[in-house]
Amino acid sequence: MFKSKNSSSFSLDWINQIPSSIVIIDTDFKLISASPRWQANFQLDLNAIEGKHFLNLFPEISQDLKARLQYSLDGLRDIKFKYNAKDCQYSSKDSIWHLNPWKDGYGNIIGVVIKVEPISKTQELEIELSKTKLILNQKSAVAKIGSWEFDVQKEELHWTPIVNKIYGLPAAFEPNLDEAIGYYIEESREIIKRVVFEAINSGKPWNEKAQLKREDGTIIWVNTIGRPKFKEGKCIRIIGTIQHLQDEVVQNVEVSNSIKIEYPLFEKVPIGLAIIDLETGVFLNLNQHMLKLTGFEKEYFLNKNYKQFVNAHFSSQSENLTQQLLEKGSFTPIKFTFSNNKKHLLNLKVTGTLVEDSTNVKSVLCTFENITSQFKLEKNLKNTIASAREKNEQLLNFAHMVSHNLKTHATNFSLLLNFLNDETGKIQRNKYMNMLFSASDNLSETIKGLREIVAVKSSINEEKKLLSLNESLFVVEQNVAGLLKETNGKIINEIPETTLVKALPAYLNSILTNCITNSIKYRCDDKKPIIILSIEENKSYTILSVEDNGLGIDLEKYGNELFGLYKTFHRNKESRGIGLYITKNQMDAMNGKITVESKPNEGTTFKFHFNKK
Amino acid sequence: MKKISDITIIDDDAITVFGLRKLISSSVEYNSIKSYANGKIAIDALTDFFNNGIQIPQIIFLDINMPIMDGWEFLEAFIELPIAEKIRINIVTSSIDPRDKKQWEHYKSKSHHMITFNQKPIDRTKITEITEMA
Repeated sequence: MFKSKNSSSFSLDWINQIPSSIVIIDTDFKLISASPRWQANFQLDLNAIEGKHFLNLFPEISQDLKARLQYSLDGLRDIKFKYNAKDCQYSSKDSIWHLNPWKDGYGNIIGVVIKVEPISKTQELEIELSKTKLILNQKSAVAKIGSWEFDVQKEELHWTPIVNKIYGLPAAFEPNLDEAIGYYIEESREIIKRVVFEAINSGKPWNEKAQLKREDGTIIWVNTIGRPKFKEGKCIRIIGTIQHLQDEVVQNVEVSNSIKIEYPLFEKVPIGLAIIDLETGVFLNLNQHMLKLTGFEKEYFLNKNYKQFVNAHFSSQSENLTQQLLEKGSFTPIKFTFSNNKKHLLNLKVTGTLVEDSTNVKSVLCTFENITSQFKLEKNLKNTIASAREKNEQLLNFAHMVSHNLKTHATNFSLLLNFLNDETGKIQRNKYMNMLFSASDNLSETIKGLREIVAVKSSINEEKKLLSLNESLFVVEQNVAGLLKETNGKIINEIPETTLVKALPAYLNSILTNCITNSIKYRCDDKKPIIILSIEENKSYTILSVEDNGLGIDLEKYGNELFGLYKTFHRNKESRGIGLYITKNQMDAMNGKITVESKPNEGTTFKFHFNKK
Repeated sequence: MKKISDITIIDDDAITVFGLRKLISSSVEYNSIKSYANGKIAIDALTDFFNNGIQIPQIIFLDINMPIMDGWEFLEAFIELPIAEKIRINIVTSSIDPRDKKQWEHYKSKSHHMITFNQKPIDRTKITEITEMA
């Protein structure tokens, strides 16, 4: 039983190195230590608050918090507590507090570890859920730890009713020290007497397993912890706990002794932790939570280089990470994907801090957080926002265009009607009438164009079909035959007979007609128009190239506006500035793409990417 | 009626040009009115005038949405010409797009010419006002 000598005097140095926001309190809710991050979060200085009653720091929430801390001391794991900053004096940010029992090397609860994490919406919901669970769990959480206090000067012993239960004594029983020690079996009694003596005379705390003979005669194992408190060099009182150990805990003692625990919290912290050797990059240790997260056994990682488990992008940064660690003692969090034992891709966020052991060997303490659900939500949200923004932009452009164009006609009508009204001469009146007719034709033309655009936007839900490209082309060639003849033009078709594309029949027809008429319309005056059609295939697209020897477009100048509405680039009376806008919209609606290559006076090549799906 | 030397209209819409010409001729005395169907033809002509020492028109009516070279591109090129006189450029548009107003403010601050932004329709009062101030 003397193996446990060191376990009650943990070194808490590690807390200064941990990158998370953590505070530790003892069973009396006194603040033991806090990580630098926690101190920064709450703008509190450890020197000023060490040993203070934790609940007094947060009086506004002390009642809620106290109940939860109590559950945690009873052994309940990962209790989540929502911290509302606006109710409290410290910290401007809402956060989630994860309460976990702080255990010594033997699994005895000696306090509570509180990890503070920034809040996310998903967590908020989760908490609502677990609140309900907590209420259900309360009944099953058996209180097994009793606390006591011994006033050395008055020789008075006080303890909580739980201790009475452990001793098997009635609740009303009030003990003195000799009586309390007298219940231990003879062998244990000597040990207890000695540790109490040492505590009072040399200030040494204890943490012992001992056998207790209960009032009803049964012998049980208990764990007793005592901490002497000194004033002016004299021990004035001892506070401590006593816990009834279940059989399995006692059996586990031997096992847990054989594992070298560098960080007492390593296994208890509710986040994935791993220690990686700075020089070799191999895993030295991983905690349970980390193994649960990844789904693999410890052996899967141990003594292997971390680069085997991360993607190329991450491992390429290793030099940068080492540099950060050596310069700042930590590196900025990195997100990466990890394939777990079920081959599911997880999005993990890793942070790391440089730690040094007593022999100056440097290693990296890493925390791993599973951010898959946040990552997915974030991605979905980003996509939705982007597409909504695009739609909105389109809509606004469309609205401006429509209002602009209709207003032009309306003002023309009113202008001409005013002139007509003022005019009496017949010849002049006839002239105004003719202009009114032409204004009305223009309006009809504009509305026709708008209708075509709306038609594209509203027929997106129709089903695509597999169509023979050559058959569709044949129909289009018939339509433009007159135009071709007039201009001595020629279409050279290099498309294989078997080529199929997935498209809406009406769109395909419109796209082909539009493109071929454009090639003829914007021909060079001194050349006969030649149009060459060909096909390329790649994994996801069938690509139709339409190459001409026409005027070409200065892409540097007009590239951005090429597919815009009412954009025309040539001095040509037939230009409406609608064709390419509609073509682009139709290709978009079929999940395709359109690209263009062109040189002024040499020609243009449009490439229509038809999606194979 | 005030006498204005030369007036230029840059607009691709024939009816608008006709209307403007008629309104101007019934409101002010002028030397000449020239009209151009887009910014490119207009800037070519004006650059020509400038290079040959011909008087640049005192008043310009400028449409925004035109093919080949729109009103903004015309302005960009026009204010590059080192013209000493203060020319009155009246943007006339049916656009209600706030981005066009922004563009106008941008060019207004960049140039010593007097640039105004006018919504269609332009009526006789407006014409008188414009020509009086020039």
